[in-house]
Amino acid sequence: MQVGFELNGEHLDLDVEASVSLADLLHSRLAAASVHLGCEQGVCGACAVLVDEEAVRSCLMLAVQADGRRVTTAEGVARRRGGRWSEVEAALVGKGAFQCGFCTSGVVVALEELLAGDEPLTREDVVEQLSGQICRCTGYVPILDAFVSLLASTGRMREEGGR
Amino acid sequence: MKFPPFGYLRPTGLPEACEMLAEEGARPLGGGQSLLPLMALRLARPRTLVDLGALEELVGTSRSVSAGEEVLEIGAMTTLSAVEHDRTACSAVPLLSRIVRFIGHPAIRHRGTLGGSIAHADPAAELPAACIALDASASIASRRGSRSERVEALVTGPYQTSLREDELVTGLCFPIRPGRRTGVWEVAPRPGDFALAGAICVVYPEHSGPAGAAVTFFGVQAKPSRVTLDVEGAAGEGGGRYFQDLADSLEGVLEDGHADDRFRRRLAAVAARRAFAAARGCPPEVGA
Amino acid sequence: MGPAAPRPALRPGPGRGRHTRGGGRYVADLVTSGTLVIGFVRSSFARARLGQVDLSRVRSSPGVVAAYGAGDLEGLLRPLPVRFGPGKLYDWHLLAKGSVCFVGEPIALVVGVDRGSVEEACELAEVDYEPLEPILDLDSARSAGAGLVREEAGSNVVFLASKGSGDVEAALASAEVVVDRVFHLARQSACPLENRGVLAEDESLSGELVVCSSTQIPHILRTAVSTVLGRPEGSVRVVVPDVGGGFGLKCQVAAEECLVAWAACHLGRRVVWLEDRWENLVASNHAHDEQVHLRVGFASDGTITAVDAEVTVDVGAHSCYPLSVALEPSSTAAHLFGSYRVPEARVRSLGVATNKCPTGAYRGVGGSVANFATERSLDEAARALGMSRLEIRRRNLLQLADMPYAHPIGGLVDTGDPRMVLEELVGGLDPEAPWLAAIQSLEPAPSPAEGEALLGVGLVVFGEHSSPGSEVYRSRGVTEVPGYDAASVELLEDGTFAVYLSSADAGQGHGDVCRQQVADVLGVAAGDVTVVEGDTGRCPRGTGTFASRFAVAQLSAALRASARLSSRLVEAAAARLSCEVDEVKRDGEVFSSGSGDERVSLKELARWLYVPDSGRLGRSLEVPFAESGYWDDGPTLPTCAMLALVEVDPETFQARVRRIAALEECGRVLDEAVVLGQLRGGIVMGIGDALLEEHRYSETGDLLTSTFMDYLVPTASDVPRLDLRVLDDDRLHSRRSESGAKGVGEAGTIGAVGAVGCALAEAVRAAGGSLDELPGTPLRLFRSCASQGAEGSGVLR
Ligand SMILES: Cc1cc2nc3c(=O)[nH]c(=O)nc-3n(C[C@H](O)[C@H](O)[C@H](O)COP(=O)(O)OP(=O)(O)OC[C@H]3O[C@@H](n4cnc5c(N)ncnc54)[C@H](O)[C@@H]3O)c2cc1C
Repeated sequence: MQVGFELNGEHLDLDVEASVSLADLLHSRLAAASVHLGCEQGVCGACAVLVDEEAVRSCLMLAVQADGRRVTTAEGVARRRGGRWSEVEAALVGKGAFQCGFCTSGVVVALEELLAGDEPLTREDVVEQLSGQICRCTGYVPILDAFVSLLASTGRMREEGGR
Repeated sequence: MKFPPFGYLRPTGLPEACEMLAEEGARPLGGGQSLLPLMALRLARPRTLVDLGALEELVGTSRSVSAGEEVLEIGAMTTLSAVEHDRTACSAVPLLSRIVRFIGHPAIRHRGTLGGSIAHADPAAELPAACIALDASASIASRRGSRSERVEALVTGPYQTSLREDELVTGLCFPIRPGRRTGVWEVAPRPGDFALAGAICVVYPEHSGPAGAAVTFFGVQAKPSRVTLDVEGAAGEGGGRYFQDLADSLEGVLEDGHADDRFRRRLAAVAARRAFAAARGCPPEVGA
Repeated sequence: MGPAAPRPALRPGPGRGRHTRGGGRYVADLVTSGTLVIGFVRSSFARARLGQVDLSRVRSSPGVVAAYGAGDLEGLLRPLPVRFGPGKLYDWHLLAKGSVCFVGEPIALVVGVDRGSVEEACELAEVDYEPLEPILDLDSARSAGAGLVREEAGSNVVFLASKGSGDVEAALASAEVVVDRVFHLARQSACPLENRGVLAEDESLSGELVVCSSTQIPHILRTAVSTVLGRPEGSVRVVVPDVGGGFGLKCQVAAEECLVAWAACHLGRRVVWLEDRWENLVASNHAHDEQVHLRVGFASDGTITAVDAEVTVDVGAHSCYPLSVALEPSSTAAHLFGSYRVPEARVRSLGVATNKCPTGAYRGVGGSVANFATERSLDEAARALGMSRLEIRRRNLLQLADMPYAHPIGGLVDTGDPRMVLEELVGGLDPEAPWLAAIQSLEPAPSPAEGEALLGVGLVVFGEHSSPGSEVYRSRGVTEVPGYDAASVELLEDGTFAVYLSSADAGQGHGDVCRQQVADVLGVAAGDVTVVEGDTGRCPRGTGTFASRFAVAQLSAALRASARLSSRLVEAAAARLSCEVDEVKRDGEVFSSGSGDERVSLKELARWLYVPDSGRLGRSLEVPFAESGYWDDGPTLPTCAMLALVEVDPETFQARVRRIAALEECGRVLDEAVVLGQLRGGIVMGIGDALLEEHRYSETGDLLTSTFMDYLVPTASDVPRLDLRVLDDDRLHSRRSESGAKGVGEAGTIGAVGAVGCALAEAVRAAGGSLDELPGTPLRLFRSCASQGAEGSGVLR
């Protein structure tokens, strides 16, 4: 089937079989190495990508469903923001917030979604968003700390309690 | 865990969708957050998927009057996230946005739909229970015409509904009941997981509509069930006992590795009591 | 096809930032167009005789290139000899032959153009099963007439070891208090986020079979592959690309790894198998699933008088290679009461086969349950003796003055001071924190008021047997694990150095640590040292990365090699400067002779060595100018003390860890950030083991926890506040390792299982319960109270 969509700022027209997941299309055919398969059940979040502005599981979306949409993988997050590194990437690297790296690009995408909003956030909000991303190495602490300090530095942190 | 091969259709209008669904082996695809995992495990093998994603008429919320009653209508393809953040829905039926936040994670809610959740009828899912608790009915369409059915009757068992093969849910209709108060409580292994047991409690104002209060359980039996509460008993001194007795009277309580019969009844009792307390502590709905 | 050579695992220094945008190169990233994809037909029965395996419909399915069952491999692929106990080897047929013994066991290998076609084709296999009653638990495995899981073993008890000293029964008989309990830890699995994966190609040019695998043990894998293929080891090269976590899972050789290598040779094509999560959960390796029966005697002053232990592990349907079924039983036994003085002890450890997924390593291995069992018994004894939990530990912990201590269970403890570690932890605690009172109090925690959370505090002090050496493995009868690690350090022509290691990184950050350590010894900048590991084609043979081996075994080898090379540099400089070796002075990267007139820089020296003016260089100046090092002096014993505070909902029995404080003494601290990173990650993993992770089987032997929806690993919402400190005290540095380090990979996990487990037990005690089984799921906590008839009291009113 024909699909046309924007990937990291570039328009693509492709022919793809209906049964191919967006994750497989991105990783295997479009060399988006950041899209990792960890569970193919929508649980682990390693395959997270932004579709338009929303983080979704690319393993639970058909490639053909990307038709007409704007897809951003971790490779494209910085470009989207017009920089060499996105703020989220810089924050994670600064805190050494990864070990094996397999979850990292999904984490970047999930946090990028949160950062792109404008409402103030609590640490609980960050935990909620991050709880959809499984990391087996870091114990999450450095990831949380990195993002919370990023939010604090941009004045987006709000104290806990009540929303 | 790759999807087995299937034919893929993407109708752009409801009549077209109904035609496509009339074909043998066709199955609607909503957000895919339940159907696609099943296909990846090869537990489902639809011949054709009819993707409802381009049916814009099935997206969005609106208020109207139906049979003399004010209602909130939500299109079946409205995503859970959209419901969570929708102002109309939040003000008309505040329980919806609160309960949706118990479902999975934001990324799941961005794709998962209201219609899919009802049609999937997972016994532990929050939304079918919410629909039952709130007296919602589903609008259903097929090539043969359209009909409406109360969600309570629509959901017939675990992953079972009275939907025919060629039918699809087009929307849900929630009566708006000013003065109503609602509370929800669930126990899940981790935040975002399906509930081990959950309860939604609805408390009605004294002189309107159905009297008193009711609790709807989910994750407890093969399908959500609604039980009327004796408000005095529930609110009284022996409230804990009252809810335990209530839970003990339920039939066909599920057993699995997370909870046996006895423990699940206990969790149901706790969830009901806490949902009841939450409902009583919450401001009455204004319906505006 | 001329695919690019698989990228060797050369790790750029500070470049781990590449991971934020997909810059990692995992096995899945090495797949090029034209790579054939492999999948497996797997058993749907837990125990059955296997009749005909008809693959004809599989072969004619679209996109399928070839399919093979065990019969097709006859004479082409040898079985892998694996072992039960010492001296008991049996043939592991990599595709099931004659019978299947767990759900998920590979029956046929299918090669196709993509994974989708292969999965579709696998469904078409026609397999004749003659189902037999599966043996699914310890009791039925040991009951008469149950039949055998593995005929070869002659018994379902496939491993048995015992160790004893003195007269334990007499000591127990005269003890003031005897704690007699059975502790359990469920079946769990490591679940690295990247599943296993192997890509292989028989290179036509070099004649070398290149196997790129997500493994922790490249050299052992090479041995296995060359064994089953009957090829010389030199013609097999294992390369480890980026590995998305291992945690012990990837230190077993998988049947699939060998089969993929075989298919690459047989077909002459580049082939790949990327395990999916279902396969990973159902059929890779599980771990733990064991019970520890302890009888521990105490004198009236709280000192331990004797320990009698029986460890029984449900090892599943196969032994694993290389660690064997000895792994979990031996490791559990070895860790019991490791930080405590034990006058008399007797330990038996058993491995029992069942028709479940084979077991292997998972971070913490036996240390986790041993820690829980040890510390729970101390808590029980303290209560029985009217002593505080802190005090009973103080009376029994080993101290520096006891060293070296011949521990009757764990063997020689060469250095360390567990008592000091405990005191440092306690001394550094916030005096207001509730846990201090809890561990000092003589009374059990009072029952909380109605509706309030049940709180519990757990305290543990333990050692981690890290970097076991050959002696340990041979004593278990295991000859497949070398036990040593090795390194070579080479001066290159441009004056920089390359270090070749026998290990393989799975995200621990080896390169950075090693580069700095080696550079310090060689007296050069870290940027002049390149670290290469995970490539049997270039690196010396060794054991690999598990059991916290890196900072200990691997670095010691590298440091020895570096020291040797460093002195050879001086010899070379002397030759170049025409002076005596002891006249050479070194100032940074410049060598000068005694008189100081003659100077040569390291770069010039290197150039001179590799491009000699004439052929008159002596033996000591021959190139390659490299030295090797080797280390086999393990184990070392780091010590950790940990406290956990948990709260349990008194009605739903949902538990949450609120805080954890730990003090880690792991010898010399080479890089504090790495140490803390290992601790944090380990602790959260341990919280998962203690609260969430549990595999369950149906009565027919089907795994009920075959997705991440059902096998629950910790998420960000499970993370408590962590207060972690590291103790680096010269007196406690390892005397065995060159680096002084003792290893830190598993302490977090072992500690959290014990500390959270003990804290949960304390919490349910307040509701009248008693907990000896982990994970402490709500159901288990509920039952622990309900079985004591305590369900009504103080619970739901
Ligand atoms: C990791 C994860 C966690 C989750 N956690 C929860 C949770 O805690 N609670 C919860 O309730 N759910 C949970 N879900 C499920 C999620 O909410 C699903 O999205 C939802 O239940 C189904 O919606 P869908 O639109 O994705 O449906 P689909 O997956 O598209 O479809 C589900 C079924 O409904 C049918 N269908 C879809 N739309 C229609 C329609 N309009 N008319 C008729 N039939 C239709 C399909 O044919 C299919 O049989 C989780 C999912 C994942 C992946």
